[in-house]
Amino acid sequence: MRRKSDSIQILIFVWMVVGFMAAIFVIEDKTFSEQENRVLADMPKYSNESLKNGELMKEIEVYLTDQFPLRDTWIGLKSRMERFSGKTENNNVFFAKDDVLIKRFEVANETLIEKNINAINKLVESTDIPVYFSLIPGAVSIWEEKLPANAQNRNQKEMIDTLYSKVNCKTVDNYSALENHKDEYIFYKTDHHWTALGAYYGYTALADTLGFEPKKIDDYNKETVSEEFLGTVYSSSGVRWVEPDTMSKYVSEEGKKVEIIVGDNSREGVFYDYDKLKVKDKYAFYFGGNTALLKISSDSGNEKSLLIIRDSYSDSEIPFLTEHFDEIYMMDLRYYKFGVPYFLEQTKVDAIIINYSLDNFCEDGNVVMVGN
Amino acid sequence: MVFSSIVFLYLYLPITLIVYFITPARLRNIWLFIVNLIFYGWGEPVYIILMLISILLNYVVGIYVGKYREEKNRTARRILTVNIILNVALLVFFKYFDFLIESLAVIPVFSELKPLGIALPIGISFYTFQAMSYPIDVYRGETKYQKSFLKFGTYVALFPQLIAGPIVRYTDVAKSLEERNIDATRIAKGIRRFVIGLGKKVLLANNIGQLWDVYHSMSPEQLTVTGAWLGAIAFTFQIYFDFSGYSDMAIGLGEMLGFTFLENFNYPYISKSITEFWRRWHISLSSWFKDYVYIPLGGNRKGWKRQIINILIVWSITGLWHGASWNFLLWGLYYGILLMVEKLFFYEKLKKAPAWFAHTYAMVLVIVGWMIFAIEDIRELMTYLGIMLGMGGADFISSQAMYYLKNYFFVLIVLVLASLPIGKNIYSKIKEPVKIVFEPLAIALVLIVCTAYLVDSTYNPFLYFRF
Repeated sequence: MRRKSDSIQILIFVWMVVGFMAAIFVIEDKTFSEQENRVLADMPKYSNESLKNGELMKEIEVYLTDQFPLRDTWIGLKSRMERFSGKTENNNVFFAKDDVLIKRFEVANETLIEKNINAINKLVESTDIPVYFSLIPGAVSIWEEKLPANAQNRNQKEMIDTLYSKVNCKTVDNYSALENHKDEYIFYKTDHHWTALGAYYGYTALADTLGFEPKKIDDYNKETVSEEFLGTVYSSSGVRWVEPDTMSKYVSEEGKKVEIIVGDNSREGVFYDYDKLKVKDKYAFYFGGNTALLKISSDSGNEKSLLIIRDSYSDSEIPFLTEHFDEIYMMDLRYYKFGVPYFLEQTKVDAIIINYSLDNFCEDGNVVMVGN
Repeated sequence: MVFSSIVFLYLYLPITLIVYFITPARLRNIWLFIVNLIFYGWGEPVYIILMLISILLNYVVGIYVGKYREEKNRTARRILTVNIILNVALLVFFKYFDFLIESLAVIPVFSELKPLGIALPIGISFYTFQAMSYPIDVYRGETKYQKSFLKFGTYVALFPQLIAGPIVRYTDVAKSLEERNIDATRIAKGIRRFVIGLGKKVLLANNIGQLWDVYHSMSPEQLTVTGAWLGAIAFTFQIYFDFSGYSDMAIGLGEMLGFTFLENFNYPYISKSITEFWRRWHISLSSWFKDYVYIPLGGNRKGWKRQIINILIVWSITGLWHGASWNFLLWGLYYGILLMVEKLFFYEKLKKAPAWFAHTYAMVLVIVGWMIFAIEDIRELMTYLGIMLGMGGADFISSQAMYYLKNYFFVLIVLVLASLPIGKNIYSKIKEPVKIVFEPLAIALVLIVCTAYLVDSTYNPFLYFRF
């Protein structure tokens, strides 16, 4: 028996599959995805070779999925479906209370951590300059109460304590400093970094260990620089129902000189990069993002100099330090390939701070350059 | 190529269908043959040749056996035997050679042997079975031989069931290869069946599969009794919805193209005995083994000793057919022995037992069976099964098990309901006017949500800037 619904059924199905197929090829290709921060595949080129070894087919598949119409809408739909089905996480990101997105903390490579710790001890032994080791916990532990019940994570507090017990240098208690202020806006809700306020508390912990008096938070002129920050956890989670974050600055850039050092030369850098507030990755507002070696000079009244071996968490913390040290070197071991001992032969510093988020410290294979 | 991919849904399928329906009926087999080869060669183009050899071999033997099965019966029989050996040899070489070498290397004399690192040709277990059973059917007089290479090739390589079944007999599709009646009702039915299968695979199997992945990769110290059962139940659902979803998609695609394939699953998890489970699970495989191995070996006609040996042979092969590893052999023997014990001692009693008891009995054994199937390493398997039984001092439950139980609670409820014939019963009670609106919308919705999951699986944020 012929049913009306059959024709409707066929029409809807055919329109869907043919429609999307046509859309992939008709709509102009996008070259870059801001959400995914990567270049998207373009139309594959045919060659006998690529057909024979199957490369061509793989390229076609990547092209279709990369250029699939409304790509980001599908991603959002999927994360909504997951939440609807009672899941409390998507793509390894927890849906925490107050619409906070928090990435799961796991440790993939224990031997890498061991190597990193050994490298730090090697540096401590080889120099008379005082070394400070500072690990920064993430929202996953400080805001643990916001996580879904029984959420499974590696314990960051325990891990930091263990790592601290293995190094032969002074350590910085960021954990307590942040924990004491956990009700404040110290981490971004859509990004893995701490906010400028969180970085301020990190700075007070650092002041404690280094032995100087930190400024009071009320002494700063707080300014909101962006209210549209959607960070990395927003991207990786696929979650599209949360509000953007607010970014602030506390320390004024006046009287601060930033130099990007490349070998024996240097060129001018930026303290705050206002252009970065217009792009997706707004966190690069602080010092314009990652650079191999930066020198920040200021007139703090203290002639001492610091070397900070850093990841990007330091970028929002260092502005506070510039008011206590005349010269601060920021070194990024992923780009600075000469090693710390070489740097110390060239440049005189009064203290070295190894300042990493626990997350990155456990994953970065470049920390070994501290000792080499 | 797999059905649950963007490239299949939004490139291969629309082109295949559009060209198929605008082509005159007599030329459709040519088009089907071409797209079959593209489908098969998509991942590993070289292996097209292997499949063509298999097709050619059985095609030629089919003709010979068909022509001479009466006048030169002995020769035909001999050729048939040689053909079976060749087919099995191809399968053994490509699927089991490395496994055999690695197993033999344990013996000092063979320790020099090195595996060849052969990549398993996709679907070889399925198409070899389809191709080699055809000359047997011809010899048995169950069908006429096929004169056209194209038609025979189309049958063996038919893309809907090429890489994961059901195993279609030549006798079931012989008529359809000559002439196919296609109408809107059939196409719409095929679409519905296909999309339901897609939903089973993408939304159910893949989803619960993530839970099994968590438990499969967990170290034994972290496992709890509840957790181990949760993992085992997750895999039990994953394999059913994965496999039956694939069969649904195959049957649906066949329907769209004008072929009718037999059902491959019939709600296996409502079984009240192991015997019943195997009547409901992967039906095309068990009936293939029955017709081409068990009965030719003598079945139950040569006394109970011989029957026991036959059952053990059939189930060893059934186990190994699923994969080249010892645990699959173990899994096959597990069922062989269970079936025998059940038949000999308590099948009749089980029929009279309360339903809840019979269900529990069957499902517990099936779930344990799936662990033998899923965990390749025998020592790991023993540890896992031990924890399920509460041995080795594992805790009963932990916050971790609670977390996953809560996260997958809704999904598990859906899976239980989808394993029962409830949906089918409700569907049959819906009135026609409601269906006209509801049906196409529901199907479109499933397709949309599946697309979201498929696109998401390729979502790959480059987070180097996360530093």
